[in-house]
Amino acid sequence: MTDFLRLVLAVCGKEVRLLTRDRAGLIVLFAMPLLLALVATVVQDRAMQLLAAPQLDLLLLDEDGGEAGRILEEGLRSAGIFTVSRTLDGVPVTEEAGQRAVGLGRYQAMLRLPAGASRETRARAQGLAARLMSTERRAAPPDLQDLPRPPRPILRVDPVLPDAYRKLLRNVVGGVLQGYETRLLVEATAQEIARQAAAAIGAPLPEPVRQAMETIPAAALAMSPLADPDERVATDQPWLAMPSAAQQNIPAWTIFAMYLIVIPLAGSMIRERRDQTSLRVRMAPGGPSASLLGKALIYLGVCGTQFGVLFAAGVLVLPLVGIGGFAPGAQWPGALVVGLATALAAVAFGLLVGALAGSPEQAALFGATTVVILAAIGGVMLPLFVMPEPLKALAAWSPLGWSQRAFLDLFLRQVEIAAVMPWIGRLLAFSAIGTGLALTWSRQQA
Amino acid sequence: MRVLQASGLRFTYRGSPEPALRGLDLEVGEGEIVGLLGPNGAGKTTAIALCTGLLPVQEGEVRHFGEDLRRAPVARRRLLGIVPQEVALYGTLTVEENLQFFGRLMGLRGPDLDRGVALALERTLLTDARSRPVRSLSGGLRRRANLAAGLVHGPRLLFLDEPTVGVDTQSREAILESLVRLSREGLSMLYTTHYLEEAERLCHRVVIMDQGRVLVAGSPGALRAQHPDCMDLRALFLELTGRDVRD
Repeated sequence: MTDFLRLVLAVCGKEVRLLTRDRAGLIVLFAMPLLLALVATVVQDRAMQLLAAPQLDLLLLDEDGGEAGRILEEGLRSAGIFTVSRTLDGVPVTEEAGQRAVGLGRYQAMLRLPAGASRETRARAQGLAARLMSTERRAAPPDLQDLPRPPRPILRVDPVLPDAYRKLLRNVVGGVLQGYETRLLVEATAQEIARQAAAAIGAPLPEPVRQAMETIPAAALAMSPLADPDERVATDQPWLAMPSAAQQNIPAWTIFAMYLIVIPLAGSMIRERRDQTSLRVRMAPGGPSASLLGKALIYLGVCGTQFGVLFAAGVLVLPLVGIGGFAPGAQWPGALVVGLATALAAVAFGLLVGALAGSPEQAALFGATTVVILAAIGGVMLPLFVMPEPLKALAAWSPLGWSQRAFLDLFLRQVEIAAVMPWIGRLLAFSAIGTGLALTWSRQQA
Repeated sequence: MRVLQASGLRFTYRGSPEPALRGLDLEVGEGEIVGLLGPNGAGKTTAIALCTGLLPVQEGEVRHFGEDLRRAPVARRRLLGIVPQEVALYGTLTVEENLQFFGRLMGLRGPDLDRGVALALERTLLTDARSRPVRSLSGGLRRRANLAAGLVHGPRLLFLDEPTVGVDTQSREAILESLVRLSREGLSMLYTTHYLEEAERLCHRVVIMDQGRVLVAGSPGALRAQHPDCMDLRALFLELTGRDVRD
């Protein structure tokens, strides 16, 4: 073994002792990221479930009692988003009780269908059909002012219901009722055509014609595929298109944790300068290089341990709380390479902050703040797709974002490792430049 | 043999208009303790940094054991030891762990390392405190541990930068007695301090410097003889460097 290697091993041994005796540092490096990863995954999993398949509880106060209420209930149920209840605490829902329940958040909305809605809608459809089919000559659309006007439904919503859900609810209710109105209009029109045709020929319509006329409303409503777009995800492997909470959070918080080494690493460099242990190190032949290399190796080891702990938690612990979706499977080799590149970049960042900062407090504040900012703009704390465009552009400058993109490409899009080499290349370049600047700056300070 | 010989040292820090050293000459013989005295800003720390190789020589020459510092093999640095002004130790490591680390850094291993650690502990009267973390030690014990770390690899020339700052009388006595014993054993020392009575008692020769220049050099007795109107080293120091308060 060479003398230099012995020096490096001596530094490694010292760093391990210093690290393992720093309980606060261990909490920052391991316990906090683990907790963050688990909590964020659980919270985001719930939020993503709501986004992916929202479930809203509705009260239906059907004062009409006719087919409009029945069709509305069927339409809402078939949307797959709503549970519809006509009773509250075992008794038929009333205006006051329903409003109170919605106000308290027990239900997300109450839909009141006023009395006469079905009758008035049918009467209006028939009146409209009669005027449309009128044989009177006219230059303008028929006047509809004197036709019956059905009462408007009233929608009461939970005050904290997000705007997107309100719009969703309005669209579904509007769509169902509009479909009902259209059907009534087509039925009435078909009946009017049949009536006028029978009057014109002076005899009842032949049975085949009459039966054909009766199928018009159903056929008219079923004709258009335009209203039902064919939805496909934009990837060759559609089942992998959306990140699960675990796929987003486990790599993200692992990256974040790795960069937290900036606090102890930079702090130890600055303390050595301040308490002059660095003088002793510099007196030793090969001491400065061995010291930096030893520190870098130990903190690479810390990053590796963080990677192992957090990924193991993703695979083993999350399923225990009912959250799946994180199974690196065949992507382990690629993930290890991305993890190593991330660790090298994080260590370089730590060395750079250690060389530039004037005190451990300054290093901790600057380092932690910078890591949080880079994590935020890099799509580590929140998925990139929910961020505004200017921030998405900034993500291209965040080393944490490069790692996150590489991990997501591996786990989500199941790409080969060659496809993430551009991200790995950036990380390695960042590492080389950061380490070079740190060494240069350290020499100047010496 | 001259263990340390510095001649014509001039040094200017980057961005500074004035040189920190303006042609400094220094010599330390075998087993000799030379006190480097001067007010704040006189250039003492710069002189030590140049003599230890921590700063590059810009002008002049530094020779260790007769060999030019710039041409000597790097391994020759193992003959040098330093006791910085701060307690340059790791607080969460024990005294023994600190000594083992700095011993390894200076190339010791195996039985040589064990022997070096034991000897350094013994010479600084720290054997009983070997297993205590440095941060749990009193100020005096920390200063002794700081000295022990400079001795662990058995240097032949030791640089001490105010090693007794802030310690009580008992610990100062222990440190000074250790240094006297080490000097008798042949260890050479370049010693800076602001405690002039300490220098007068300990040092074979003193060098009083100011503004990067040597003002006088010689044994305390000879200097007193040359300046009969100064009753002690303190009076001579104040006469040579003035009474103005320095930064």
